[in-house]
Amino acid sequence: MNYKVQKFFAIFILAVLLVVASSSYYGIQGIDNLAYVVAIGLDAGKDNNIKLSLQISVPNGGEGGSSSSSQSSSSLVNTIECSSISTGIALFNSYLGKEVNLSHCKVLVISEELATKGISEYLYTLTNDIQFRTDSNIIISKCDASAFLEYSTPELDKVAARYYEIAPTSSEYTGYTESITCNEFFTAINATTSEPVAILGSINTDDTHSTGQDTDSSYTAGETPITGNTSIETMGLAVFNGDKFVGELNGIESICHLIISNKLKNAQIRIPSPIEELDYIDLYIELKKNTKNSLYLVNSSPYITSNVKITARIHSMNQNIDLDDDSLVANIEKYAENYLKENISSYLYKTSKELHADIDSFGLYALKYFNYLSDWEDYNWLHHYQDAFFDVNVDVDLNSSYLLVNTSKEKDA
Amino acid sequence: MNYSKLGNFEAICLIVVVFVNHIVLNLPQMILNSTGSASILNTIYILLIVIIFAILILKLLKKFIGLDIIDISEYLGGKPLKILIGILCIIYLIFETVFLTRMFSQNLLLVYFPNYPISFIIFLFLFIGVVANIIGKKSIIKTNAIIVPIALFSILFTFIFVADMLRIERSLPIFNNGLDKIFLSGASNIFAFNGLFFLFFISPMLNKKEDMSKVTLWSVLICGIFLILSIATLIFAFSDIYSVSRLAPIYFIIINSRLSAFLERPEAIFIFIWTLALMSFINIAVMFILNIFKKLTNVKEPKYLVISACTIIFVLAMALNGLFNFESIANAFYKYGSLILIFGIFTLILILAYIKKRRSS
Repeated sequence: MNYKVQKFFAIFILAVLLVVASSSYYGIQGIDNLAYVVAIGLDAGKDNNIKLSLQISVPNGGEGGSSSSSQSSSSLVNTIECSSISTGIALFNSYLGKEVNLSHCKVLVISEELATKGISEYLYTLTNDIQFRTDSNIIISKCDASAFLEYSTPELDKVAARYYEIAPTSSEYTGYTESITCNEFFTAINATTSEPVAILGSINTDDTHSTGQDTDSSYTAGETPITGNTSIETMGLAVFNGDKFVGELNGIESICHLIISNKLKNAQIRIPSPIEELDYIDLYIELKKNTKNSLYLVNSSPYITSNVKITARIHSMNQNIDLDDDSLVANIEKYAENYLKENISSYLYKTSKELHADIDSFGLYALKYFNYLSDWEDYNWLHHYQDAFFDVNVDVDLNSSYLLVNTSKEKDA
Repeated sequence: MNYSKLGNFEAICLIVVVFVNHIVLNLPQMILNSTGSASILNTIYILLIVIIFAILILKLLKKFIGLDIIDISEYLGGKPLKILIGILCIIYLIFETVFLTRMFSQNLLLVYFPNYPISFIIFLFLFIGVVANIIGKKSIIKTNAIIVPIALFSILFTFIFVADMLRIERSLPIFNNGLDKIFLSGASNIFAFNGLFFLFFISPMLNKKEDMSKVTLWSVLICGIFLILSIATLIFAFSDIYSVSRLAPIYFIIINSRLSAFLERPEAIFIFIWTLALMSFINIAVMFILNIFKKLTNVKEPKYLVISACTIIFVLAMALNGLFNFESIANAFYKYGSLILIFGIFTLILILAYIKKRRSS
């Protein structure tokens, strides 16, 4: 190429790059112009309207705020009654004087009241929104979503956004709920093989506490008798049939759900004890192998078998317990197997007969009996799931205790 | 075409770059829309068809070593056919570039620059095309050989991060809407391999002419494997993928993958890589447009016509307003344009030229 032409183009490109790099485009928005939402709340309003609540991050831990807003150290919550999410956000833009931005939203909270009416419209709208991240968690609140957001001030975390990021991961070490994203919920709504579940949440106050539960894992959100500052709690799962909320699962049922759907990381369960030194035994459990689910169609009704393999460690300890004793270990294993079998069966029949919702995606196992989509659609799996019957087999392998293995006095003597 | 010598790897990248750009836009969704849960079966089937097609083309091209489709057209039907095929190729390349640029810019605009005018983004893409073509073909081909593997790796990387969401049962019912939809009407999905367009032009460019078969088969295999992988990932990971049509499914995979556990905005990296891939495609398409034009008109130095070519692309891209209409037109062109030109007209010309050559010899 001609040297002069090359030189001309080099200067031209340099000039264009300099102009582009050093100029500010009229459409550019800095963070000062934006109000970052960390959580969205949806409640049922009057006359088919909704109440849209936004928890907005205050970058400097801000001061002030209107009378209609409550304020934590890092965020404030505003609520507006509107006909749709989009118009609500437009009204917020006008009220706040800044453009609402959903790109940092971590959680979508929907009240049970609204969820009972159906929430597909809101899910579709938010999934269609380019700013909204579908990896945000979805929580169904037993109280008003606006109240849930207002009490979301975490005790151990000053930044609400960080709290919303970390809180759902508690399911990994408790098993009392599951970290469900809006995308998982959205795909389950549209699937013909399963129904959606969401995290169950509530405000925990003295009034919401429950008493007389058999075990600590029988609570749902808000029922745990904790004393301290009024705060929010996520425990259990909200079960949906299509886009409508139909029921709740408590802590132990959530553990069963995680076992069956192979999502259990680890959890603590409390089983009746075969030894007199302990009334109950606390076991730390995890999946030894993935749960094997099989499905057969018997006269068009699903017959589902689940083979569960669990590894357990004993957490409870007292005097005179010898875990070197094979018969004792076998006995504890048997008790644990019976306990889990009973709970899993009860959970499965609850989803089938009571809630009519296949939240464990058993429909996927039924697909193999249908070669064509039309046959599958005619069969209508979600309708037939309520006729399902289950056979659960549990195999518990008690690995060990933790630091203490044998506390029997005879041995010491 | 008597320009730079092309290594085997560079030639493979030249064919694959078209595929890469389509796969990050809506190619998997187009196949999923037509064959649903049977898409994996359909893709394996069309891959077999394309391998057979490629073997046939290679056999026919053996009689015309060192000639491209324009030369072969001239051999078959003289100058009129040469000009006709040349014009068709130019139109095809222009529209392919127009649709890809517009579609990608539109998506980029939606995700990152909602307040920017689309003309600004399209202009930037085409500006790169102008500069690259003025600098030279060698740099375009070398750059493409760097960008394409990175883009392929980015797609592969995407699939790895949804591995824990995969359920094979989601590919059932295996025959979806019937065998005829998979094996008869579904055969038209071979349009996915429209990167084979360049196969008819690279013969004179290859450094080792005898490696044509290697280049072709490797290109087809890479495209086939990545197509199967992308469709399988979408089917296995998302149970609603048949019922909800999305603008760019690979982008959708990224924002919902486990990658976001490590990175706040993982899609930004991928979009950057894909932007480079689109730029590379535009450079190559414009380069071929100019060279075909040179062949038709005997212009000595066509590179200075690059501004005219890019201006035409820019004007056409800007003329397509309204995303929904535009997408259906682009998809129709992509499907039927490729089927008619590459798998129809080019093949027919090759077969007839082959028969003519055999008779004359």
